[in-house]
Amino acid sequence: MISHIAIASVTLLGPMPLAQDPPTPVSVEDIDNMDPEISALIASVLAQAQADPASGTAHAELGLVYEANTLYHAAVRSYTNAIALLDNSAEWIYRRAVALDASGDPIAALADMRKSADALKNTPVIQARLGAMLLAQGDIQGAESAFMQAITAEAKQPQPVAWPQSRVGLCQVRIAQESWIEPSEILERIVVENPGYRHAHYLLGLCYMELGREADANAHLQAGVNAWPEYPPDPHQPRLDKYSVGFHRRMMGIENMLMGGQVEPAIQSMTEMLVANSNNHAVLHLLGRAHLMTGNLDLGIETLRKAESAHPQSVDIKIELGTALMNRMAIGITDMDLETRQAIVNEFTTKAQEAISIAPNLGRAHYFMGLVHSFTLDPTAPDPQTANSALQSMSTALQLGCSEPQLLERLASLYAQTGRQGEMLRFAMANAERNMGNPSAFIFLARAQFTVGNSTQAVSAAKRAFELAPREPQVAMFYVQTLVSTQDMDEAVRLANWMSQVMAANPDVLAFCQNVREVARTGSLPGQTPPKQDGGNQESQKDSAPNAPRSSR
Amino acid sequence: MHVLPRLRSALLLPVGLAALSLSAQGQDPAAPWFQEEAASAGLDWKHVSGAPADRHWFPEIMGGGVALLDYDGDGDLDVYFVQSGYLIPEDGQTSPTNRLFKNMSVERVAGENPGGAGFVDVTETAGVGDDGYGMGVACGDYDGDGDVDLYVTNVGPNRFYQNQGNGTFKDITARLKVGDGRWGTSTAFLDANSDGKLDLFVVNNLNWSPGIETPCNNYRNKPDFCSPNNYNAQSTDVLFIQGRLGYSDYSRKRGLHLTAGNGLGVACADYDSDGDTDIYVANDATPNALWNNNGKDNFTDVALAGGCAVNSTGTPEAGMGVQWVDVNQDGWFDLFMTHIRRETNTFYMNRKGRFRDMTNMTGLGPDSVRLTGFGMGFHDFNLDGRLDLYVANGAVQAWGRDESYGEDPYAEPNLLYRGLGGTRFESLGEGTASPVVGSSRGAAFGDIDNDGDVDVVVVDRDAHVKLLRNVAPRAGSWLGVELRGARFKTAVGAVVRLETSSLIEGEVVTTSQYRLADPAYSYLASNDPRVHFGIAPGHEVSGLFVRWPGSTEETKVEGPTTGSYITVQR
Repeated sequence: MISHIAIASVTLLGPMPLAQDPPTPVSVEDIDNMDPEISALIASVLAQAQADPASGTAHAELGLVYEANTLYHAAVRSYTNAIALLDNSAEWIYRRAVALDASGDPIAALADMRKSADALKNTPVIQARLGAMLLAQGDIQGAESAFMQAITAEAKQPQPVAWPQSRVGLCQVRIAQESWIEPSEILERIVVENPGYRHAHYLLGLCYMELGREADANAHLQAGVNAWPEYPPDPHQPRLDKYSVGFHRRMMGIENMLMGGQVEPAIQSMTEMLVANSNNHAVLHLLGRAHLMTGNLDLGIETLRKAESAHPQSVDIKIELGTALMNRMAIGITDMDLETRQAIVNEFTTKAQEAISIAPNLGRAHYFMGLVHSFTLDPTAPDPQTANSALQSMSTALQLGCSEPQLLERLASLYAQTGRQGEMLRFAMANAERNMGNPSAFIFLARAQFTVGNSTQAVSAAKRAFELAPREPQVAMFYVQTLVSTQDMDEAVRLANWMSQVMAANPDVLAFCQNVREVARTGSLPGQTPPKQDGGNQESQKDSAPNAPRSSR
Repeated sequence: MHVLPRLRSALLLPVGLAALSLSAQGQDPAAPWFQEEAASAGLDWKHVSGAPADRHWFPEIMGGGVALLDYDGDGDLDVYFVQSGYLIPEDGQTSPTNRLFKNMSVERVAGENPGGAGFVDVTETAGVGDDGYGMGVACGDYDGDGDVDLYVTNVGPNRFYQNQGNGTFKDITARLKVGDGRWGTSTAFLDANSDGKLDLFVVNNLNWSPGIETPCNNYRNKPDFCSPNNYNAQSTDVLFIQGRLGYSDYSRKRGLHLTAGNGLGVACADYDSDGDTDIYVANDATPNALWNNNGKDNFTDVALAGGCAVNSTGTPEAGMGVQWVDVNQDGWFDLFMTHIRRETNTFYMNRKGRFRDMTNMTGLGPDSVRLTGFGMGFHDFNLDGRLDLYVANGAVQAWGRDESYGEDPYAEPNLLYRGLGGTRFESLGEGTASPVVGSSRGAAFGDIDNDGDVDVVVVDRDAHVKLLRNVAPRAGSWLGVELRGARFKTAVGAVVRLETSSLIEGEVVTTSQYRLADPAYSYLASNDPRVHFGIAPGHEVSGLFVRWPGSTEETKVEGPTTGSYITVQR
């Protein structure tokens, strides 16, 4: 995607280097105490630069190695050498600007970035980074020009592009200028094209808030939290990635692979790492998780047991092992004899107890204990003592600040199972508040509202879920179902007709919509008793409402 | 409104007498603003983190704290240090305790302490030598008996010391049931339910125990302290409401249990001018919380919708120290907080109850990116009528020799900024004649020598304390105001407005300065409870007004006298 964006070879006018000894390649102290992979890479690239100290490219390459491994000051000095030897190369002045910024010197970084941006007007990443730097230092007008130039540069590429980062930068400028409508329109398009672009969501939330669209604003602000600044593709990035080495980098890379669904290559990498150190608990832990992701529960459990043996005090490993055992039990319960089942229950219960013993104030440990209690709970006829134990553990987890995404939903479900509907509703509402951009949370709330007979609020919650994901068939069908339940047939039919058009390829949706029209026409589905015609009292609404909330295990 | 004349100018410590006379008229722009005088003032205390060289347990990089309080009511500020110590003392190891140092200025003036030290350690007599792994401290007269009580946070149970009014304290933690037991950091007394009594807010950091520790590497790929996010062990904060029978934990009833974070800083103010006290919590690497007080019923976290949970790029920053301060003097309290290296310290401007990250318009961003800020305070250090800023810095990961400042791999220089008016500031470097570097954490601000300007006490990790006496060239005059609550009517959270007039091109122009009467700000600190105004040259005081907590109306104070501290009784 980025290979065609190259940095042209441009040199800036300036004093030519005097004929003198070439600069000494930059070395860093205590290299031997670093991660062996990093020190070996540095030694190798340093040796190349030392062999040819007059080569600006060699110094630049050494700079990239330092920068890739967060040794920013050494990177800055290496780039300085390269710049001197490469006739004030704008490319390496740019790189130095990035390294200076990362090292905590934004003033010097801006000076360099200006120089490189003047020389390389058609490199979008440089213009966009300049815009961001100017904005950070309060030069709104300068930032506007730089982002505009980035957008212009994108259009001038051999294959014109329009990266969202430059437009997001321009939106930041507009927001700083107290303009809301224009950036909101740009950002709306960007988040449709790039649903995972958090910064765009955050800025859109700010715009909506100023425009008085609070519910929409909250959803986008929540989707935007934990954003970070992003820039158009950087031509140096492939080399920086290549030079980013060491155990922790490899582990980060493996975690990224797992998050990106590349499980088999991750397993391969970890297996290779274990050849050198078969008892590394961090690798064993991650490998166990990877095996679980492939569906190989037994191998995952075995590997996590090894990880636990290598690091018996790790709460994380105990919780992950215990959860895997629970899943093993849930999946294979019919194939197990009583003795095996009891052994597994004992083992995951022990893991929960050990986790709490090691970290008594850790919310996640109590949440896990709550899961253990819930595991044996029959949702249709819950044993009060077990339900209370589960509730107590989950409540403790909440009190201790546990941030497990399903905690509030599980608490609501436990309260539902124990007949405490007021508490159930309270937590369902809190869950929706915490997940303003998540339609599932509003569907859960709608179910809770139906359970307590608040049909109007239930429809509102279902409507909110629909607004968040109108083209999600399950969400749309749920909303229409709530409309049918509350006898709002006109709106139900209107939406059913719309769904028939936009989801025409989905036979389930078409059948559902047909049923909705049938109910509207006849008052019932073929073979079904017509609903009461009294406008629907609470009981009738509850009868026809979606299921009471129940958390998925 | 009663004004009790209580002139306190010229109660001086034995040091720096010459500096005062020099500072009276001198306007040398290069002159230092602070002079380090801890040792000569008898403030002999050293922080102990207890961290062995090869261990990096997270709490061991975060302490310690400091309070400025007049515990004996003699009119000068005493100093209480919150010591860290040892998380798990080994055989034969005794944890050093918190220490209280009495300010001997009054005794000196009265001739009772000739030639003696400026400060004397009175910990044993006072009975406040807690040996927990200490973090922060709050000071307030919780029982309304006229003397200041102490609440100390720890990694583990916190401690409540009730002032007995005779120079001693009594540990009443068990009776009040306010120990909590988690890792408490910053803490504040506030009137959360507008009943006039002081409630208590405790910020918690990780739900820490040795079992959650995990190996981490720093930017030089060497073992070092982790980010709090490596632990996934966020905690909730605690609100203790004071009722007839003492304190009760209302966190759950008031909805505070629904937002967790890695809390480090806290500051309280009525940010939306609706007559009740709201609470802001600075979290480390998780979104900050703004607990909006909905009257007597509930608190709701509105930080995200309000624009002050994360910075302008949507990134949660490493919140440490925090202060509510009206930087642009428009009557709405803005927010400023300190952050880790590679993040700016951040200024959120209050725009009638909604916030915007306006750091880029202040000049406070660029210098802060290379440092890690902890304690901080906005004050008019040079009495020119404009707020200045002091930030105490210290790293939490070692950056390597080519980026370090001295032997301590976590040491960094502190920063002083001069206010240029409005929201603009310029960096003055460290503000001292000789370098002051260290792994600074808690910083407390107050007029320790009662000479009318604000001094700073800085706690550096594993180092001796620093007393930075203000020797800044004085541009104008000053006024100090001590607010006293009525019986069961606290003054904490009151807003004081000073109106001054000046003649500009033949026209009388009036300007207002707003100050919040709340000692809880900065990081792990409690500060001088008095509010302090600098008055620009050519300005005359034309009015002094107080908005008491729980009220939306201002009350005028008659006859304030510049160059002195006055006491205003509710």
